[in-house]
Amino acid sequence: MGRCRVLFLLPFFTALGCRAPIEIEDVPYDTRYGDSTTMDIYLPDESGPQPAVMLIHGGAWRFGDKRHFDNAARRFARSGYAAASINYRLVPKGVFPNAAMDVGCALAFLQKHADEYSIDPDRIAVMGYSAGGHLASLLGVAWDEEFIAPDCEWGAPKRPRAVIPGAGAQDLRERADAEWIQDFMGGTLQEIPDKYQQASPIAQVDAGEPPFLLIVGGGDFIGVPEQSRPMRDALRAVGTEADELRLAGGGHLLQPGVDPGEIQLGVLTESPEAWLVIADFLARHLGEP
Amino acid sequence: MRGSALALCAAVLVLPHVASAEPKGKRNAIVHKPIALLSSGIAVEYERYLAERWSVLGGAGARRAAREDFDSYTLTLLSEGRFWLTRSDWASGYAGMAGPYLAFAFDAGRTSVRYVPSDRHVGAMWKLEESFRFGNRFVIWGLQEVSVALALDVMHEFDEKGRLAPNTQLTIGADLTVGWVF
Repeated sequence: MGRCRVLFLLPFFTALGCRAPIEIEDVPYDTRYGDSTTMDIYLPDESGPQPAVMLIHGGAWRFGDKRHFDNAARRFARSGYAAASINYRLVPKGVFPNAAMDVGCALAFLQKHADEYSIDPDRIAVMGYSAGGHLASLLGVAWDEEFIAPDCEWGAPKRPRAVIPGAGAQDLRERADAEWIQDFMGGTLQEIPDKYQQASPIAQVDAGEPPFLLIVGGGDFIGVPEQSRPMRDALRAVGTEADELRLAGGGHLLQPGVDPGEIQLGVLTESPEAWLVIADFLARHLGEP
Repeated sequence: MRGSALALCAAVLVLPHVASAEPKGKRNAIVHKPIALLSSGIAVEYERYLAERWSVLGGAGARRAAREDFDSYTLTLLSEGRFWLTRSDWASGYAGMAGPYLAFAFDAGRTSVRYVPSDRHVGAMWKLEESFRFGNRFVIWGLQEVSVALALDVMHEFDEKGRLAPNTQLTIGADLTVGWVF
């Protein structure tokens, strides 16, 4: 890994100076919705085609921005993977299935523009956190379903090569009484049961799904970590490779630090355990960059 | 002769002030960090009073956080230097290693992950962390201590296999210790 070197900024503080990835900001993948449907693309400073990771931010489908994944995207790019961190329409405009259609459109855009960005279109993984984890899961199991088929000019995406949902809901029907889920769904479970089924990744599992790596926190009281194991088991039941990393002490936005006695602001997928498992998962399913 | 007398007078005047800055008998602390229990871990530290308002800590921690299809071990060495902002705790009046403090900490840890179903080594990562901390120690009954601190952390990560690029990241954290001073 010759891309980085240690910098001594102060007598004590050091930093790692790495060759910066090429960053292309605010690339529109669907011009109809302005900033809501743009992505930031991070390309490794190497010749391609490279495997890629599409990143989907969280925020209860209502908040958030593609910049939340800046650090992860830069790290992927410095490690040899292209990365694309996307915006998507948020509630109320992103009410289901709009947000899911945007995510599918973003993947189709990357696949169609693979040559332009030196990406291998057959080696694109999808990773999301929280609401983005739910959308990543849904794209992973329903990428070919009509009900979330994008209506943008790039058409329907091809199957993602691998899926990494972090702290994502897998069954919206189980939490249908939550106001934030009803806002995303545009109604209650009683009013639109079919839509709830469509939006629940676990209800869409079928043979031939891409491999999944599910990451959840044992201390996550905002997300729904209890839905991760049933999703893993449902995927395994149809012959799909699926593994679950559950981090004891990991919350939705608070993680243990290097010092196990310190709690830090951060997401689960930024923990050393998660990074190691993600690197291994991507190397096995996308190939080494 | 006259110079020696002046030096003696100066020493007589100054020494009591130096002595009064020393803690009243208690120069050590042993603490543990209950937050570590949440991640199936443990962290303990020993603190020694060095000189006026300065103390140093050293310790170790471990956690075994990964569950389900993965298992992990993290071993950490902890070090910290503290400057005590006041000579005594405003709440208890206890002098020495009490009340508000500023600290610089350096921690180093190694995390190793294993895939359980096939007993395969997934990888290992080193994580170094430099922190500026502001905290306060409360001393109860002159023996029990509870400390809380806020930290600005700079973290560096190095993947042993080199599959991931090294990374530097800034974050904020919070620290809680419970222990004894003696």
